[in-house]
Amino acid sequence: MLIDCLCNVILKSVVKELAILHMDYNILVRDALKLKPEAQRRLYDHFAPAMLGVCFRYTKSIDDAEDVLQDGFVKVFKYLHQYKSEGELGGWIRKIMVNTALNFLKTNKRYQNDLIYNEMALHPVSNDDPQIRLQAKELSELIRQLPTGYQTIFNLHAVEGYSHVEIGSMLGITDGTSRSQYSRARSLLIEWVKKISSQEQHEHYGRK
Amino acid sequence: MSTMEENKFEKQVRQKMGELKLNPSEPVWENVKKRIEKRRTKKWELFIFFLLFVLLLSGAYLLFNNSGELTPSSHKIANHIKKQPGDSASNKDRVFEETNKANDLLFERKNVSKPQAVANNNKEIIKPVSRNIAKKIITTRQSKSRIIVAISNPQTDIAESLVKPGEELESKQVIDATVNSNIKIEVTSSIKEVTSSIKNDDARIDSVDKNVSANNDISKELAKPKDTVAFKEGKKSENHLSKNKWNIGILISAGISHIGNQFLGLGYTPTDYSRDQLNNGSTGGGVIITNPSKVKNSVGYITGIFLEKNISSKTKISFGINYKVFSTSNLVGPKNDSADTYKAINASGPVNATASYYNHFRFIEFPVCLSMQLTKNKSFPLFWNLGISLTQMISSDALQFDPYKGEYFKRNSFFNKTQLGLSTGVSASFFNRQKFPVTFGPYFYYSVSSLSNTGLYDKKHLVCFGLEGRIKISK
Repeated sequence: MLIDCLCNVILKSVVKELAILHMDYNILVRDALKLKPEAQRRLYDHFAPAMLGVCFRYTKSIDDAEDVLQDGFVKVFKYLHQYKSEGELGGWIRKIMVNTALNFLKTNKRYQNDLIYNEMALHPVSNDDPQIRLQAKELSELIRQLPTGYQTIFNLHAVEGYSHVEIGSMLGITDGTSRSQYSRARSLLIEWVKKISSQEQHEHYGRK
Repeated sequence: MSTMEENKFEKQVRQKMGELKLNPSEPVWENVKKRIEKRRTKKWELFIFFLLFVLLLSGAYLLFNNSGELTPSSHKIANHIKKQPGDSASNKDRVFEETNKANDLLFERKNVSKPQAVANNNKEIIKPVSRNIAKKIITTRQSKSRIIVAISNPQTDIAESLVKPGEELESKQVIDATVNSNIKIEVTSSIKEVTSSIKNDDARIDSVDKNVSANNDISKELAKPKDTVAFKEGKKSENHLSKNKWNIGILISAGISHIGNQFLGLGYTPTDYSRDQLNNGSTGGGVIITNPSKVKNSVGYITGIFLEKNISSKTKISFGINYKVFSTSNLVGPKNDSADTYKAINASGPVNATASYYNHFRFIEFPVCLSMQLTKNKSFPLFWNLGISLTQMISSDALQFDPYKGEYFKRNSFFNKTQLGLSTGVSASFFNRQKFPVTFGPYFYYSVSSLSNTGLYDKKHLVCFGLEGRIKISK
């Protein structure tokens, strides 16, 4: 009897999760365009956690990340009529968040001085591919430790998948600068990942 | 991209970052909600404001249009006449009843249609000079015939005069009636006496026939002076009509728009951020200050509708609602696609190409304009126009400038949305006797309010030189 009840509860929650995962975004968008508050809230609730993750990667504090998220969602609702239903809604919102984050970095005085992209000698991309044993949050914290210029280019290239030419036109720099800055950022990050991994290994052996 | 895809590291990073989810604090949604609702409220406010303005204009239009009928003053004059000895309202009614009876009899005996009989009976007596001008009614009475001559002007007055038989055939009677304590009405009437005694129905018909023939002769004699007087009266009342009537029209204007920060916006000094920094004493830190390119003039145009009215013989007033677009241009570097910003042409770093960017300022304008006639020439009058207008910015794609980054960006919150403007110009009137008269001439507009209190347009005013055309679509 108890097992049956437990199974029912689990089944219901799984069905609910699946329903949310496969929710019809078109209906949600249509209702949000009709300015229905509950649809707007549902849209926000569904995408906000992932989008805050995006904003978090581009900024240095959670407050700034929330500011970007707020501006980004205002833009999402403002330009929702421009969303074409054939594309993925999540991808469209993510693009808006990235653009909003870049704008934020450019206009915010705390970040402006760090966003100077100096032309550097081309640094070869190492073939070093260490295994990342860190949690998503820990890795994102490491990315945020990078200088703002490196952090931005690393996010745009490694995570968002933009080419260096695209990054060059987005940030007003040459693709060569983007390439060299990315290479430096990657090396730094691998170094830190290795360091943390070895520290953890030492602690592990110590405990043994 | 291919190199990246080959590396496991990037794949792992992408996968890990895809898993990153953080729950935002509740105030974030509250702020988003507030900002969405604020935008919605702003739209509604603008719509309601526009609706109220249109209602106000329509109400004013109807009010001034209806006031032309002036029925209360007609009543006053009628009362004034009633008070004259020997006359009463019942007398007047009887006269009209008997006229109708006579017309009915004519209709029966002569086998003609009633309207025709009425027309024949009163053909020469009721002679409208123009649609809205004088109307004259002459009618007969059983024992003694009387002539009722009414020169009625629908705008101002109705006067009636009853004359007994035996009075002189032609007389000029001037009735001064004070309407609304100030309006003096001059009624000039020519009166003819027709004497005929109608004892029975047959005799009545004969009498009416005689009256008709007699009236024909008399009318011929009186045609010239009567018509002249009536024509003059008619012309006077027509002028009066057009003076009080609201005319609707459309306005089209195009010119060169610019921004200025000197007297009447006639001069422009570009913003020098490096000088500002020196003045503020904050040049340290190795920060490079970039100045924006010069803002140049561009095209401006206005289109709208207006209501115009003569307030005196040589002065007109008009109200309207316009859609106005002013623009300026400046040279910018390449666009940063993702960020919707433009690099400055003299910014540090490589700038491959420059292009002209056109900054548009779109407004809804509510102008009031006074036009004063300068020349006496009626066929080709020249007017001096003076206007004041309240404008509301509805949108803009104008660029602001960040001197630290050397970049142009968009920020409409910098602008003063509501502005007060002054305009002046000279216009000549064409096709005055045609269906659609046109006024055309040069004008100058100056926005008294500054466009912005910060940024690239700080303390700068919009100005426009152009040509303005107004076409009246109701005359």
